[in-house]
This record gives sequence, C-alpha cells and structure tokens, in this order.
Amino acid sequence: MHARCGTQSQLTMGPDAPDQRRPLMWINRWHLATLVTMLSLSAGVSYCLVQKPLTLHDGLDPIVKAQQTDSVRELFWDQLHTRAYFRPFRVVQSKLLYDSFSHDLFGAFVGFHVLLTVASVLLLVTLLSPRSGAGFAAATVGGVTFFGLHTSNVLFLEAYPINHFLEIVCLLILTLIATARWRGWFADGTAVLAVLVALGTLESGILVWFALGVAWVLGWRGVSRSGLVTSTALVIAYFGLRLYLDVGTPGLDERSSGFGFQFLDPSVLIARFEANPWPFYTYNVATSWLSVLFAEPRAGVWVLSERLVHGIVPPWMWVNLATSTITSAMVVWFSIRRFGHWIHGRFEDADRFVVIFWAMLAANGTLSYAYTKDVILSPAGILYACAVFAVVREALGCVRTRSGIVAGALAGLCLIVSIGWSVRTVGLLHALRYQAYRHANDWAFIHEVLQDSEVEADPNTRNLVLRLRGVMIRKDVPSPYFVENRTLSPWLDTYR
Amino acid sequence: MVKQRLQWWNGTARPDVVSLMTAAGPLVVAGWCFALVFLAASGSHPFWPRTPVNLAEAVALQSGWEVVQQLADGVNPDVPQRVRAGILGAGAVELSAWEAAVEANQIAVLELMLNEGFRPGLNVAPRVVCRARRRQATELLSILSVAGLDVDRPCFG
Repeated sequence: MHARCGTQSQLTMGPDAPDQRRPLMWINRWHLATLVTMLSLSAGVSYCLVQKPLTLHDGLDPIVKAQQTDSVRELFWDQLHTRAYFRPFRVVQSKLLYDSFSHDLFGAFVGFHVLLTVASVLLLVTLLSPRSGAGFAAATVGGVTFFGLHTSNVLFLEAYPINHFLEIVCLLILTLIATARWRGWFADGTAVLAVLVALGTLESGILVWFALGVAWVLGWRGVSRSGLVTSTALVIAYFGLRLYLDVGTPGLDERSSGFGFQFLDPSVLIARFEANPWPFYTYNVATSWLSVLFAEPRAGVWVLSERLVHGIVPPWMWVNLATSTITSAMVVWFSIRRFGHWIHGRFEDADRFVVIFWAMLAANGTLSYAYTKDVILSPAGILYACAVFAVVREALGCVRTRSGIVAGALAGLCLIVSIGWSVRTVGLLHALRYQAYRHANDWAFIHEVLQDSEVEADPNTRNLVLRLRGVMIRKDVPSPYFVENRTLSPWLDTYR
Repeated sequence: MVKQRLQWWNGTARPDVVSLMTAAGPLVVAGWCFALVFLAASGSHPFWPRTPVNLAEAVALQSGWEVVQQLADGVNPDVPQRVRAGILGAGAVELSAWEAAVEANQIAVLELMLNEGFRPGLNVAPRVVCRARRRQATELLSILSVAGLDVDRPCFG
C-alpha cells in the first residue's frame, strides 16, 4: 500500500487541508497568491468578454421572450409547459435583467457574464484553499486547467445572453464549498438554494445535488443530514413535477449530434437509430467520458483522428491531446495509489476531489446520452480541474520527499502539464477574439432573423432586434486577417 | 497569539524550486492578462487591435459588421477605394465595394449590401456585371439580376 508523499504532519492533515478552526473568510499568503493569480486570469477573460458582442443564435430568443412577456410570473408559467426541457428559471433570469436594465441590455448581460466569471474563480480558490507553496503551484495549474479545458470554452465564448452552464458550474462549486468548508444553517441554506436554482435552470443542475451527495458520503459533512434530505426532497419534487407536466426527454429529433467523423442532422439520426437508439446513446456516453479525459473526440466527433486519416493534424490538436492524456494519466496514477485507502473509507481532501471527479464524470457522461456537446460536460470539467489540483500537489509532494528517476519524472510531468494548460488558456483568449468576429458578423447578417415570424409580426420586437444590432456592430472587433499569427496561431485552439 | 497568526499566514510549507517552476506557466499567463487589462485601462489594446479598413476592404474580408457600420455612416459603395496588398492578391488594387464583392466572390456580403437597401449606381453597375461575367460568377450574376441590374448587356475591353 502506498502512503501519501510528504512529511508526517502533512500525512495527518494534508498540506492544504481545511482547518475547522479557521474563520469563514480566513486566508493565508498562499491562498492570497492563488487568488491574485486567478483573478488576473479572470480579468483577462473578462476584458475580452466586455468587448465581444452577445451571441445572436440561441442568445436573441430569451431577450425577445423577455420583451414579449408582460411579467416574470407569466414567463415562469409559460416556461413550465415546454417540451423535452424543464428550465423555468432560465429565461426568467433574462427577463429580470431585461426589466432592470432595458436601457443598456448589452451592459447588463455582459456585466452578469463577467460577474459569473469572477465568481467562478473566487469559488474555485475558496474550494481548493491552498496553504503551501506546492498547494499554490497546484492551484494555479488547476486554474489554467479550468480556463484551458475544452469543456469550459463555451462558458466564456457564448453569451446566450446569460451563460447558464457557467451558472451551473458556479452553483456546483458553491455547494461543494458549503459542505466542505462551511457548516451550520448557512451551509445548509446555501446548498439547498443552490440545488433549487440549478434544478430549475438546466437539466445538468441535478449534478449539483449529485456532487453534494457524493461529497457528503465521502465525509464532507458541513451540510447537515437535514440539509441533504431537503435537497433530495427537491430532486424528488423536480422529477414529480416533470412527470406531472409531461415534460418528457430530448429525442433523436431534438438537434444535430456528432457521430464518428461528422455531425449528423436529426433526420439522419432518426433514419439510423429510430428502431434502436441504444447504440447511439451508448456512443454519446462513452465519447463524453473520453472527451473529458483525452480532449478527443469533441462533441462526439473524432476530429483529430479524422485529420490524421485525411490530412495534416494542426499542432493545437496535439497540444490538447498530450496535455489531457498526461494529466488524466496522473489522475489515474493518484487513484491507483490511493485506492486501498478509499475502499477502507479513508479520505483526505485530495482524495475527495479525485473521487468526486470520477463520480461526476460518470454521471455527467451518462446525462449526455441524448446528445453530447463539450459544454454539457463543464460540471465534470470543473471537477477535473479540482482533481488536477489534488494530483499535482501530490506529485510535488513526492518530488520533495523522493529522489532519482521517480522524482525527476514527476517533476517533468508537472512542468509539462503546467505549460500545456497555460498554452490552452492562451488559446481561450485567442479564441475569444475569433468568436467576437463571428458574433459581430452574425449580427450583421441578421436578415433571416428579421424574417422570423415572431420578429416580423411585432414592430416592437423588430425595433429591439435592430437596436441590439446597432450596438453589436459598433463593437471594436479585431479581424482574424490582421491578428492571425502564422507562428503562434496553429498552436492555439480557436474552437473553429 | 501574534506568532500563531504569522504561522497561519505563512502556511505549512515553503515553496521548492519544482513548485515554483510548475507555477511559472500559469503565472506568466496571469501576468500577461493583468498587463492586458492594465494597458486597456490606459487606452491601449495590443491584444484587441482595431485595424481600420475601408468599405471595399471590409467587403473583401467578409467583415459584415464593418460593412453595415460604414454604410450606416454614409460611405458610398460606388466610390472606388484602395484595397491593400495581400487582401485581393499580391498587389494593391482600387475598386468599389461592389467590385470587391465580385472579385472576392463574397456572395453573402453582396446580398447584405442589397438587403441594406443599396444598389450599384449607373456608373459602376456595368463594371460590376462585366467583372462577374469575366469571373463566370453565375450565382453573383443571378443575385445582381434579381436586384434589377441588366446582366446581359455586352461587355467591351
């Protein structure tokens, strides 16, 4: 059986384990250093967000709905009766922002996006709570993993106008903080409220409750038993309501989905899998798991393999594959080392991060059975970043206490992983420029949207769309023609 | 008490070289992000450069939003403008926005300009049609025809 790398004092508590004597907002210098680093990263992302137009496709619809509905209550009831999806809080949030800031809709929605971005890193640092030099290094790698991971890119690239996937990620980390770092009525209230909002916002909101349950089983019991029972009751009520309202689940006709080397339209999916959809569902679940671990396939499409068969593979694909594979191998290495402790029910914080990640990967992938997209896997992605923190910190501990080839190899892997994820984070910022160009162009070529029956029939809606267009096309967006760098750009994933 | 507080502040371990090297990558990216925001606050945007383009260049580059912006600002699409070298071939050329659309085969942008309510003027229309015919751009010709241009007129020279 392998013990933890590190000193005896570290073995008893772990170098970055939370101390129950700590006040709620207490931080040490490593925590502070991590906070400053992560806030700088989020500032870079936010800088791009405020200059990027809102997403037109999928983004305009909630704004139009908000404008066409008289009250929040009316919209809420309307959203209770949609098919396949049960998301009553989703459009309601847009309505609340619309009503409060109708004079500056762009500022309202982008401001909210920036708020969520900053909140996500603040919450992540609070959850990781590094208390040592190695913890600081590992937390920064976890941070760039969060920003660089392909499952996170849409969290920042798209403003729908509210990115609810990012909201779910924030609620997920908040719930874990509540049960791992806090206790008492405040922890209970936070967790229950987070589960409630998440359930009503997106289907993947159920993963917030799932993470809470797994964390509780693993010994993070800041949320009391009654808090957990209340959250579970909410989930039961959620399913009861779905059944009562006959919401149903997404079918093959819902949207295009990746399969093999290409995206298949709903008509093709129906023709191929209507008689027996299970192979398709199994494919979606399996590729979702692989995608998080290896960055291939992407949204069900084997992009790198296809390029390998038919042409030249761009360097960024190798960067993604190598970084993800090495990092995942380190997570597997950690899991094997600690498995003996886990089956005896002995968990430290690092173990919990990794076990919750594996559980979340399994659940998140399974939830993607109907169709898979990178962003649907963002809850597993954020916990992957937490697992990376635990694993890198463990590896750095081993480097300190061991010598020879093992220490050298672990040090080398930590450096490779750190550089790889840093490059991928730069890729996100680069991609934001491309996305800004695409979105600005979408708003320019809006005539099809204007011919949409809902927009054409209502002059107020038409005026709103044209007003928004006027704002979006005035954004200063860099043209890819002028910002493309022939040396650097091929190494950066622009999510094209 | 003070000693205990200092101990909390310092954390449980000093950083080693490998930890610092591991943190170096994320720290460089974080420093770069901080610099971007700091420069932006002082009015400089090296990461978000805005290279001014004229209407013909915007058309050739399929920058639809810049096309709409300039048309709304009153730029005349019939007036020939200099398209810098590298955009429509190795050398610089002087073209109207309509001709640039034909030369770059920008069907969507041509439709965009028409949808915005603009039509090629009498002086530029023959040049646009003849250029499209020389390039055998049948789709562009049919769009121009629907827009009311005589696409069957003879071309000379």
